[in-house]
Amino acid sequence: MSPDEHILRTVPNTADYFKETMGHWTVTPYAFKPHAERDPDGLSLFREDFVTPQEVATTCKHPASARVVRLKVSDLIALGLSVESNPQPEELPGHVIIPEMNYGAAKAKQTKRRIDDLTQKLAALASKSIAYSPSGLTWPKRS
Amino acid sequence: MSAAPTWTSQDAEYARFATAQGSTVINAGIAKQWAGRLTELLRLRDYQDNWDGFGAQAPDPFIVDTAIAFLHALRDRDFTDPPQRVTLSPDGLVAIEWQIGAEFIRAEIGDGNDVEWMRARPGEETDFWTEPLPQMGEQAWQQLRRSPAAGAAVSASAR
Repeated sequence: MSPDEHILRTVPNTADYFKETMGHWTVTPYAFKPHAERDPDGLSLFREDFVTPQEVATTCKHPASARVVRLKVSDLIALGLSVESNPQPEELPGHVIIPEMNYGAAKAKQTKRRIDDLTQKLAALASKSIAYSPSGLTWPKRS
Repeated sequence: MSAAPTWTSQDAEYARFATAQGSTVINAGIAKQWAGRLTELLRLRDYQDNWDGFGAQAPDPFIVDTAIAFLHALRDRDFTDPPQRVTLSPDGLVAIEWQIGAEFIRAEIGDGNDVEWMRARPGEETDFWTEPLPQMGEQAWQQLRRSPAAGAAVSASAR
């Protein structure tokens, strides 16, 4: 995979994940915390060469819809991460994982802080690069 | 001069607190921020399974109530520094977050006895440290564990 490629991650449009006034961390680090259902073998993303951000947004079934953030592979490599192709029949084309950021590593005491640090770094990168917001979607507020 | 914020009934405690601090517009504005975070934490208790659209489990009320107690402790420690966001992780941890310039600070509350802090600054090593959760007394904690619905009352009595 080329370091110049971009990969995409869906983030539910909830106040838990987005807050416009949080500056460099508009996207919360928890948007990149490995998820038991979604990221068992590594953080789940999609290659932008294979799918559009609009298509990736449809993978989230949250009633408040979703935004899609974009990361550059070279930025991930600079953080010591790798990106592995991980095609799955039930996923859209171009599915990849970041194996270092799997659910088990996020829960393990000896690796949790390393994962936490990576999540805040990825959140800062993503906050600068929101690839897709559905038309008319407003910033979320808890109501 | 800015108009003083309009208080709601839920903000009454904070309005009283601001008054005790000198009843300035600035204090009232800060108090509103504390009230906002409290309201957000209380609403986390209503989240159901699959609250994130990816199958996350509903949060544990005990953890949310522990975060509420810690928010009160933070307010008592430094009223002038309210957090800007509270958020819930897919695995049920609660974070209280600040963004100050290029610095990000997070206090994370789970089911343990400590709060885990993280402070990130560009170009520097990220710091982590822990501190014990507020001393509520064993009896109050046991009550909270047995009856999460009693959490707000227990938190209030611990202040």
